[in-house]
Amino acid sequence: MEITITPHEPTTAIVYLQGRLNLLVAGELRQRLLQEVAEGRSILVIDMSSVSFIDSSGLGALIGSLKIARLAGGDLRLAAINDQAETLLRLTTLNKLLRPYADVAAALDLG
Amino acid sequence: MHKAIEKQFVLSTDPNICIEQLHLILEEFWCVAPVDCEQQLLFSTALCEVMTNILRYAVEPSGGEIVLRLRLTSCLLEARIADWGRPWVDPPSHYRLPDAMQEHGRGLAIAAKALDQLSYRRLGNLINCWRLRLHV
Repeated sequence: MEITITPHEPTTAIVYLQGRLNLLVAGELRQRLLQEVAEGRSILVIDMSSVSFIDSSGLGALIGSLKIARLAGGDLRLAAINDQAETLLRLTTLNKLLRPYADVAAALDLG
Repeated sequence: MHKAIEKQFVLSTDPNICIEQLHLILEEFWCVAPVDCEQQLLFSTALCEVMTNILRYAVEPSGGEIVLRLRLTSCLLEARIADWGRPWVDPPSHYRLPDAMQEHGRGLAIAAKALDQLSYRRLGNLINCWRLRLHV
């Protein structure tokens, strides 16, 4: 998986992911996101438009990062999820905690 | 009514290889198996969760193999998985989702919710056998 992080505002980072978000990359993603929060960017907008598949490990990394982001006064927002991610959120009833946004612009507008 | 489809695959116990193999197998299987998109998503999600569980808790990355059988009949989509790893000593009678903010412990609960039937048994104190079933 490719992880590309772009600072958007002093407190916001846009995180573009490409590939599968699973057991193999969950740890790295969590670490990268926590680093962003540590540097003051506690609003994390995750661009999921190129994520083809996500599993419970990937979901765990997002929840862990959400917790830390909220403790720092921020948030983690998912943008442009595909049908499989939507299915996973529905099965886990996490669609309220990780409410998905149509796209990155919609997720940023909340700020 | 379509003819039953049955395929068998041998996967690596190395997570880096196994997960890639599994996605390729599923992509090819859906090309020949007439299953609607929603059920493909549910079954693929469940199968990946069970496989991840095996890779994480049962087998060692080097030197082993995992056997996967996929079967589609007119009314049933089924996966059987066999590995020769550590036994699951005390499997629960049912799988429960953890609290929303928990980072771990969702995999098999997701699989169970996605499927009509998820079962595990240890065969002859040698083989871990998983069966995943979804009515189609």
